[in-house]
Amino acid sequence: MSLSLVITQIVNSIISGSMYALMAVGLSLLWGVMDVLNFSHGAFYMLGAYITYYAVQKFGLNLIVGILLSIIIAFLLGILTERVLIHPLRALQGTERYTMVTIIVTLGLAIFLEAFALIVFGSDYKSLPPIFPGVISFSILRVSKQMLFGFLLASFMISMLWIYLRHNRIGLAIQALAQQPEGALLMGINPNTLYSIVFGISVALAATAGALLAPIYNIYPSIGWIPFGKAWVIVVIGGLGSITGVIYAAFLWAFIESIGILFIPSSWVPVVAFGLMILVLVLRPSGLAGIRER
Amino acid sequence: MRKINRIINKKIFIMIKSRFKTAKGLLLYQLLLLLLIFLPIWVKDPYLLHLLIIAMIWSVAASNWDLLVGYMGMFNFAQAAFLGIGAYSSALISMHLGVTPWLSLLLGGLITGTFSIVIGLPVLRLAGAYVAMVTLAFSEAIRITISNWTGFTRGVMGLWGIPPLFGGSGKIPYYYSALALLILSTLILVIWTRSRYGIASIAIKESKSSSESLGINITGFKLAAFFVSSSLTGIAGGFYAFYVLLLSPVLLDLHHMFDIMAMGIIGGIGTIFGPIIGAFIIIFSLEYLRAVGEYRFLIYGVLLILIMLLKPQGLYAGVIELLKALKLYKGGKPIWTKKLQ
Repeated sequence: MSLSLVITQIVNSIISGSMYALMAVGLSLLWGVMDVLNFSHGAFYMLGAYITYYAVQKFGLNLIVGILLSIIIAFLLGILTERVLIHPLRALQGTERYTMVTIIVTLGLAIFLEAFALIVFGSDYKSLPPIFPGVISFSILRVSKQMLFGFLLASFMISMLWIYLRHNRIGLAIQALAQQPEGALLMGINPNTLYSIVFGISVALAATAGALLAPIYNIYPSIGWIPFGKAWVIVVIGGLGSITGVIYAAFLWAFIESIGILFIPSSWVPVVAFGLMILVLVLRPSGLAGIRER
Repeated sequence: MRKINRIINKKIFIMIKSRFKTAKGLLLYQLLLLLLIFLPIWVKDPYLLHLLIIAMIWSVAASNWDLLVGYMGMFNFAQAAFLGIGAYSSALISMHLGVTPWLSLLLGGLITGTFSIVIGLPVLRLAGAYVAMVTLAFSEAIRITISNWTGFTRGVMGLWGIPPLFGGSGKIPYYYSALALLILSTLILVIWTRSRYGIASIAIKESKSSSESLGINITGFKLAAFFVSSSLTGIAGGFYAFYVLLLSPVLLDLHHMFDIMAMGIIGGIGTIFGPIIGAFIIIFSLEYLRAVGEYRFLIYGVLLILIMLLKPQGLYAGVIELLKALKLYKGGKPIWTKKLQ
């Protein structure tokens, strides 16, 4: 095993870690604020990829415009989803039944969106030509410009979310709602609007990841499940509801995956991932940096 | 004389009516059972019999899924995987160790039960969302392992050369053994859910903290439920293997899990009988309604959402309401109809 291969894999792991973080942060945010385990997260990833594909390929728009378009559409769809599907169930919140019913409803949405994509967009593999072709090389290190662009945009989105949650009035209200729903209500925070916004942000992040990876991977109706599964593993390792923990876990997981591929066949990697996730749950149910005991 | 006849007739009618009422609709189930027992007398079409056998196998899987989801509050995503583990382990045992299919059916069930303990122990104390995650991860891990381990399971090429359960090509012996399996499984489930612990587990599902304050602790019982339900599912899987004689990892696919979920939820969770009805409906409509086959998942998605939002008790509750309106049934409501508070 050459040194350059190891270094390339490490750099790759940082880039894919940023994508994983983008997926996982949304999942974790939604769980932390709303107690909803969103099974349609991967479906919004898929939608993001398709919207970008159609914007760029069919309507000849710029890639950046396509990505922005998928973010906006996913955000609006997320708000709609929250209002129509999750809001009527709010009375159950805090019970085991709420968890189960929201899982079934969001899973129903995921199954529906996947079938919808299959019928409307077709089952064939679609791919976008790279917008930034070519690679940047520093002595032994080679990184494709496309991946670098994805990394930069993903980092930008996560930092924006971070700043939003820490310094914006609405972001602070969201945090208050996550920590103390009753207390937040007493302070005059309207949970209904905030829950919609949180759902919108969460799925918009998933759609961003899908849009960023659209020019890199093939697009087909069931692409969402694998990133969704990985995001899950990361959220569990990082601790459900903890944004910082999830970002660390995303990079840790990407590192393990990139290095692991050098030692074990890639088809076995998911088995190791799921085994690791179960192990973490058994040993430390609140995750490596979990803020909430569940 | 006519008057006496009329009185006797009326008395018999009242007797039958009260039978319906006091036995909590048990006569209804007996009638359905009789129908299933005598069906092969009229139904000679082997393809129809095949569908009935398949529907009964999926009924066992769906109603056992309901035990965990509807009664125990454990969202089990690994039901299709349990079916697959049962199928693969019993087929492999009989192929490699030369054990008779009947014995390997039981061994397959036991192996599935053991797997469920391995996965059940860590999730017992976790909240619902974690149970869903761990069982889904487990299910995918098992599916990928079976796909990758080509030396043993032949992976995606498919496992063939499984010895059949019965010689000859008749479907009738398979039909009656599937029916026996369905009856056995349903009896176990009904007894289980009506027992003291079954009722306690409903209390826990509805409100964990208040039942804890009443001193209900059923961790062991939950584990036992997990074992029993997955063993029965494993046996159904083994039966599937010895009936279809060809296995592939597709059986463990997530889409088959969605089938089981749709059967359970359309039929009605927390009812045991609902998922059985659901399984028959889904298997037959997939075969006979072309539109359903094409748009299956589109329909599933819409139905799952609509049922959960509007009528979480599913079709079963609808049937019961109809029977009540016709004054043919007087029994307890299915548990999912009960509102919280």
